[in-house]
Amino acid sequence: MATPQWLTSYTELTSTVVKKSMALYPDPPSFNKEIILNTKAKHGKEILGPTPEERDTLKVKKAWEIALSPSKSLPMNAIMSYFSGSSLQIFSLTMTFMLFSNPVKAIANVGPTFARYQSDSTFSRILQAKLVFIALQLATIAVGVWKMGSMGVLPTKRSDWLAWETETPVLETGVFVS
Amino acid sequence: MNVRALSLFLILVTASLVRALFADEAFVVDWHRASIGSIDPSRALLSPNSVTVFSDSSVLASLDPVNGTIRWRHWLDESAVPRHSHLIRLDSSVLLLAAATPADASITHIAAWIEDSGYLLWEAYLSGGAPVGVSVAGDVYILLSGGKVQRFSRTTGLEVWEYSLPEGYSAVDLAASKHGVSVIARKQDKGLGYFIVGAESGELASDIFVVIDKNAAAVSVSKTGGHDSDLISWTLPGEGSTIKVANLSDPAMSVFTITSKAPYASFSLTSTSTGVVVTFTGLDGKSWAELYSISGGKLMLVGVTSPTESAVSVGAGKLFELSKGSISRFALGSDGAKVESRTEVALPSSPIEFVTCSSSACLVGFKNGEYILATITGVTWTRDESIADVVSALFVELEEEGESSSLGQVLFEENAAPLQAYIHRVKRHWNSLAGLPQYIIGFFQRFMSGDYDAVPVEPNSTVTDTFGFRKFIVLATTKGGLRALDTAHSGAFAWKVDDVLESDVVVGIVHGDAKDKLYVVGKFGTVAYINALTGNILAISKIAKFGLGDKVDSVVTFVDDGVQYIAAWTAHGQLHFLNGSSPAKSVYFSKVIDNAVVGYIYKEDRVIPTWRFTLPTSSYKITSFASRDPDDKTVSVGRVLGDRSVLYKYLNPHILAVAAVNEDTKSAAIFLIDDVSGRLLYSSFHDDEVVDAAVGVKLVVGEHWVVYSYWSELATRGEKLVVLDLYESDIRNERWSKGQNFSSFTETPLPFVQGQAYLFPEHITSLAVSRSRFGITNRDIIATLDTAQIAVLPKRLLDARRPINRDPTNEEKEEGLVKYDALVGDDKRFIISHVFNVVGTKKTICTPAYLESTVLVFAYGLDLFFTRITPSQPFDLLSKSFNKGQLLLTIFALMVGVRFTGPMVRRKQLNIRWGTQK
Repeated sequence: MATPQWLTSYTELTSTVVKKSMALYPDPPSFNKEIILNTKAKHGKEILGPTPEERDTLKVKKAWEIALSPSKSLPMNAIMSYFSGSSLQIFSLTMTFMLFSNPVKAIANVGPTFARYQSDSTFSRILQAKLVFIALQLATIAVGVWKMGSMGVLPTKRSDWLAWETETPVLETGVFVS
Repeated sequence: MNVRALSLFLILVTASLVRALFADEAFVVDWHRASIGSIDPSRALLSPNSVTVFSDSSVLASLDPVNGTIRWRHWLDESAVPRHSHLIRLDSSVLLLAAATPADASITHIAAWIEDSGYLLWEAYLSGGAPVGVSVAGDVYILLSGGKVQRFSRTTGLEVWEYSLPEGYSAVDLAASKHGVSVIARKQDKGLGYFIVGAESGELASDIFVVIDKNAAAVSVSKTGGHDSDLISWTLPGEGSTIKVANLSDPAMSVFTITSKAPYASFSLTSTSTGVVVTFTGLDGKSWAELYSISGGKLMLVGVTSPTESAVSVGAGKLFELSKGSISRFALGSDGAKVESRTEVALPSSPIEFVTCSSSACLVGFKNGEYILATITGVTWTRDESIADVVSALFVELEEEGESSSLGQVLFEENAAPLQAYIHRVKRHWNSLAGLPQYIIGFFQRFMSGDYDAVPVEPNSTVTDTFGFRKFIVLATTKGGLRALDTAHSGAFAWKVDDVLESDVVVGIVHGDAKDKLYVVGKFGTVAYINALTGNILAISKIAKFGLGDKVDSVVTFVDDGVQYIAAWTAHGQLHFLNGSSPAKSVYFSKVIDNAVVGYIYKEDRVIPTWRFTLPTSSYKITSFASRDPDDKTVSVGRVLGDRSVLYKYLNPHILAVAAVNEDTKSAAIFLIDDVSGRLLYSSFHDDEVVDAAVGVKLVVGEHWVVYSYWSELATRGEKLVVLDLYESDIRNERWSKGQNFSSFTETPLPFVQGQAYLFPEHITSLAVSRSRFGITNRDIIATLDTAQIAVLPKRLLDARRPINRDPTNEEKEEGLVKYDALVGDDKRFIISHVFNVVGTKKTICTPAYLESTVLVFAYGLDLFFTRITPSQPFDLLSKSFNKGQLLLTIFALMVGVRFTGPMVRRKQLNIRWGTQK
């Protein structure tokens, strides 16, 4: 089945399609095509939008911007975690919860987040961005873990495993006759 | 934020330290039974409005003659020895008690007590020995064993004069009249005789020692109190049935001879207005009275009662005879005894020990420790004083609701054929429907009130209550009986058994294989197996192969490989297993014998001594010892510190703590030894202290710690309480016992011991430790005080890790440590006995309720006291003030709200979706 014209014109926004559509439909009233063509002529090249390579570069750049965005909030999270103290209070507990829930959500949504920049040609480069994005989210989680550790809720000390330690079996039966 | 959290934590910590009994729980959760102890007829005074006794337990008490309750009592444990004391009447309202003091037998304490109120009128301390004779004739005359005679003013207690017997005379007794005081004495070459001392002058009326008899043996003086008819009687060695009698106020000293009708075991002589009544107890246990009249210098037998299985006593001119089923009163005339009145009465079944009578009533003592006051119309009251002398006590678990009735039926259903079991079950459920209305009523009562005591347990049932607060306490008494007390009904007797071991002396009682069976073991090898819920004796036997002349020393019970063994340990060092089985593998025993701890191994039916732990020098005497309760449970093997590291507890179940006092220097020493291997684990010498050796050191061993206390005269004078906490290592997180078996015979590292000492404001008489069901709840140290109170001290307060001379760091605060304060327990909220005067407690035992938070505490000695404590607050029990109604109302209101608003919200949301509503 052939692709409908409207789908092609919406999805494949290449210059040829634009040209085609320009040829298909008459210009709106008082639109002077010449002016545009002359401007192009003045600059000595045809202004028909960026090339696919340029677009890809642009997309990848954009994707990297998103990938690196968690790094901006990371120092803030770390500083806030440090200053909110180690006591178990609703504020610090909520904050610590956010430090875990947001990265997990973000990692789960990593596909949709980068879908706009995804294409066959940029796949490998976008993948790098994705990995960096995930790594930064994991760094946020690491801040959360550190925060939990400072609050003392991580079973890192001997006393946390004390409940699983049992009494030493005694071999002899001793009876004191009082 | 951190600071705030810490302060909140501190509030929680201190809240649990400051804990008290609530006013609405007093008299509800606790009870007290006051006792006076065994009564001796020679120290009992009967009058129409009181019965005053000075008991064998050093209690001077006045009993209400109407109902037998104690009107007042004084525990004179420190000022009077009952054996060397005299209780006599000074006048119609004042009594005199003269007694040797226990601390120093050469000091006599005399005190005049007001009969109605128990107030002290005057008192004096006399030197010169124990009192041997006291007489009242206007003033008070007293003869001391050192030969000193003193006269005291009856109203002020001031000494009037003093006279000493010449050298070589030993004091026997004295009898005073208005004219003179007859001081009866003995001299080696002259025999029995007397001097007359002038009542006013205090000097000898004449130097003559009037010799009564050269060969007199047992002497007794019957005083009438200034009637000039004080009689002296004595027996002659080798003349069994002859009694010599003389009137002390007779200048001629005519001696009369009484020859009893039958051989007697004991006699008692009373002078009456017309003559003499002698009551005899025969060798066969029968009693009779012989009545004599004095006329014309002669003693004539005028009447004799027939010997019967009874007790006879003379009180104020009347003769009373008590036999099994009746009480009779005789009038004493010059022509003999005539029956005036006879009433049928039901007396306790135990044999009568003594009868002492006034003109209207008789105080009767029975062999089993019961006392009655009987008048000619019947028994006025009964008191059971056997519970004042307890050999051994233990808690008995009761059945749970329906346990006994349903268990057998359920077992039947499990084993029967399916159809039969089904029919049986339907029938059972149908039958139990009968109790449904009652159950529903009870359920709602309990539900509305929130009070589980709203439906009380019947006093005569053997079923426990919801939380297991109701138990029986079985006491073995020195009188050879058993008494079961019901903890839920103010300690009322659930059952009584007298003479359980058929005249053997009870050494101990222990739980049998089943929770409701007990073994009672006697000194001479008698063993009774009894039902603890009913007191029925199921079996009574003698220990097989019991050594000739051997005596049971103590009863031990222990569990080895899940099997419970009950054994009697004898003085010859033998072990007799009572419940049939004996352990196959070796068991190690230890015992304190002759100022040393001796270790034994039980192997192949033989007990072999293995080691002996002796004290450093022979001047050290072991005063006390304690080992850990085998039922004590450990939940956590370590102690969590503030930095969340762990100090591992030294949990050696074989720790035996031994306290000794050096009799030369009066210093105390504590030794912790392993009672399997005899290895010394720790020792501590308090060389700079002067300890009261008579009281010694009080000790208690808990989970991984030892607490002891002693009264010290030096440095800071007072009761000193010391805690020793034992850890596996002083290095945090180090546990050498991990992953291996603990054996006392391997050279394991010695415990790391931390200690701290405190001052306690009162004398402590004994220490105990609380024990909860699973060991999660904190432990309390229970101390009985000589102020007749019982105190609890949280173990958390006695903690060797408390920081000294500085505030605790944050980490220490997290650990729950508070700054060290030398004075501990100076808070009346620690007293759990509140207004009760719990006199003379010697021992405290504990048992858990079904609730983990609650521990049942029972103290015994002279008085009995029961209460329940919650060392970590009642965390598993709703408080009575909890408003259940409000909670239910709130839930109901919310349900109604949801019911109405639910459809409204649903409609609105639907409308929004259809766009019909903005």
